[in-house]
Amino acid sequence: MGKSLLLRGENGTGKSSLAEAFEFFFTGGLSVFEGKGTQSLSLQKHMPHKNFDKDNVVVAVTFDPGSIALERTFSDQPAPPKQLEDYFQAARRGTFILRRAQILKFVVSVPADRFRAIASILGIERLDNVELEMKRAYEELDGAVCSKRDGIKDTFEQISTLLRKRTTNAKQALDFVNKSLKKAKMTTLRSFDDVDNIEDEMLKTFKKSADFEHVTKLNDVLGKLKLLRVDDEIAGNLHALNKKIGPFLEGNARSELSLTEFLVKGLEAVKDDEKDACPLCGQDVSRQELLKQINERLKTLSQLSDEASEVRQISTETEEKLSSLAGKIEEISEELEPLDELKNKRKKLLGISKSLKKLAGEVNSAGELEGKVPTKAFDQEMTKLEKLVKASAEKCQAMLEKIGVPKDWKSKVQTVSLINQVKSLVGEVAKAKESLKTKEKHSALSKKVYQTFSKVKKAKIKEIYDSITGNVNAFYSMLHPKDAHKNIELNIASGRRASAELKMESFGSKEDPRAFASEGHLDSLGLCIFLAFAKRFNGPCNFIVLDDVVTTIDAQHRGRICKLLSQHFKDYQLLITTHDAVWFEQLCAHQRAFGIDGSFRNMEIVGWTLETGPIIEPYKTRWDRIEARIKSGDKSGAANEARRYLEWVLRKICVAAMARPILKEGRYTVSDLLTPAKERIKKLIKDNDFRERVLKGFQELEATVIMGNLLSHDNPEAENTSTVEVNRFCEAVHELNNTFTCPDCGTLFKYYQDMKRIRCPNSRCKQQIDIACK
Amino acid sequence: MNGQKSVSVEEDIFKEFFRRLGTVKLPSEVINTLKKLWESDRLESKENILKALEEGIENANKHQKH
Repeated sequence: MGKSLLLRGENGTGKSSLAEAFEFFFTGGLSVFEGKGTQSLSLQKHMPHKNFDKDNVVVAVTFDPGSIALERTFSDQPAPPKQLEDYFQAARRGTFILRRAQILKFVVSVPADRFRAIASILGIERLDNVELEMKRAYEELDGAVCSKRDGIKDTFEQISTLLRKRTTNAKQALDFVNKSLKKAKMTTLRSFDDVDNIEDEMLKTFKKSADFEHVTKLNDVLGKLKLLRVDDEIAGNLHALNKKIGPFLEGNARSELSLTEFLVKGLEAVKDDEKDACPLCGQDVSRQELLKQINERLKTLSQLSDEASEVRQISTETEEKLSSLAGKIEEISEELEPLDELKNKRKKLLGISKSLKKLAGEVNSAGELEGKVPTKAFDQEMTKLEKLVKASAEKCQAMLEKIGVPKDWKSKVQTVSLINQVKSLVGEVAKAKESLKTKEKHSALSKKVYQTFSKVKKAKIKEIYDSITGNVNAFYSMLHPKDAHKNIELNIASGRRASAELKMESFGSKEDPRAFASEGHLDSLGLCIFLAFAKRFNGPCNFIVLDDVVTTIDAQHRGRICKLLSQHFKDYQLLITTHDAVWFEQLCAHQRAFGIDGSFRNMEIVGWTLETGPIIEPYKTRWDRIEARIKSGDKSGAANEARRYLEWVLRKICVAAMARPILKEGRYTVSDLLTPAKERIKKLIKDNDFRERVLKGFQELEATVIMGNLLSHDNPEAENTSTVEVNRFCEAVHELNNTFTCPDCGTLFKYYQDMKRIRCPNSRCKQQIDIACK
Repeated sequence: MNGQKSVSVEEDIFKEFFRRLGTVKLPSEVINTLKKLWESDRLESKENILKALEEGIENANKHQKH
């Protein structure tokens, strides 16, 4: 891992370009060119320098250990070696960068958008799809179980109708059949298989055996025709389906999903633009592929809703009923095949069966939210069916009359026919029960699979929310230790599957953070949330970019941000940019205080031109700059800088030692601060060595401070000053600063009034300076 | 880089999911077929899930007979 970088530069000098370069390198895009109102922006057009084009863009990054050099251009992406794959995988999401513009994104977004942002950070977008497919599998099996059960119930109802007695099981059916046989003075059955023996007996005695078969056939067909019923629920289901599907087709339900709205607009934009380029970033894409992906995503989002789930359930059930009815009509048609007189009717029945199968297909499509069902067509087919069944039954009856079965045989033939029908139905029930057992088992398993997945997913997301919340609270209380705002919570909103609520306790009540927190508080909350996510989810990518994120936060809290980063992110490689000189100095001071200055490079953008871009140089401390000026012979510059340095040092000493300069409005200058600082130190310090050193420092300063005055104004005497004299003044200022600064960590000393000691306030400092006071 | 191998949230969820399936007495053959689907990135399909359940139950029945 390389060093962290702290970069200072004024606005417009290119600080953010560095952050953007890393974003482009790892993700291939730039988030500043995405989102609302960016239609006129194009990555390929607007990212390159004004004097160059996209083919000249190269971002090169070297990774250590191993000095692995990788590049990204518009046409090529970096190909990381195996040891860097996880790093790139994590960085690819782009969640390692925080910019000022994004800092409030999380805090002010709506719960559904917040959830989607979290899902994207966590990399769990796919899980919604998996859960949906498991739900659909369970619903399909459950629907099939319900249909099977209904089918068995229907079959027993048919048996009951035939036997004219309520029948709920096969044994009952056999008992009732035997009663009929006894009544007709025929042999009873031990099982339904015995009915073949009865038919054989009858064949032996009935004279016209061919006619007997014909008669039994006609009676069978007649019986089946009489039994054929259309399930009343089918028509009702079809209407219900159309009613529920309407809002989906009109897009009303979609508008509840804000992402759906965006995708619908995106779809229109892509359709209208005939070029093979992304309308957002201008990159080359396959338009057809993009359209396909947007449509698929829209489909998934629609299907996620509970309403869609209900539609699927009704559609599965109705599809089964229609297929079952079509099957029964086909069976009857098969029975009619040997009967030439009923050839036309058979053809028409087959036609209706075909229409019902087609309708079942349309019902399936309705379940997929692809279109409404033609209920009128169904009604027309049912009217046709009713007429056809009636006509066929009348024809069969007429044919029976023509054969002229003897009266005593009529009841026997009818009884045998009845038994055959009951036998067939009982056989159907047995098969259906076997099939039901299997389907019930499958359904129970698929229910367990779906429910378990749903529970685990929800619990895991909650666990993640809780762990993030823990860190957010820890970081936030570090920044605002005695605040009225605390106990931040991130929750899955109750009753909603994809929603994340953010709450904060303010003045005793839990509210949206925007209710009571100031802009600075919201900014620091946004920062804490970002850092908590980065810590939890960026995994192998321990690189964080903070691009000018402390604008609205005051100096005291900015100091605490320094402490937060130093304590909790010391194993991270940070790129921090700022225009704020004070925060920059604070961060440098904290690097020293925490002993991590060795792992930072502090740089400054000292200039910018269109041709060169930012001109970056190592940061020079104030003393470094003064020394450089003296070396270069710039006496005025050095003295001027030293004078400002002295004002700063004296101000710090007055604050640290609780000196009392004369109150005035406006800025305090050297003359306002020098005497009060000296007098206070004289009275305060007990330790003789330290006191002597300080007073000697003040003495030297008083002897040389005139240099600062002379060279800071337009003074003819300034020409006569020597570099040696100016250097002496500068060194006196620097020495005074060094006297009050910890030699180990560079922190300014602090006066602890209660203990009457001056000490280094950095608890980590090894030096443990301790100066006695009066 | 700190050389750390990340277990993604998705992997974490699936690991726990397959473990829990064992505790709700799902036949191991069914769990294994579902696992194979996930490993081959084919779990986002109702048809695949239905097939996997069928296959898993068939295998479980075969093992029971033996």
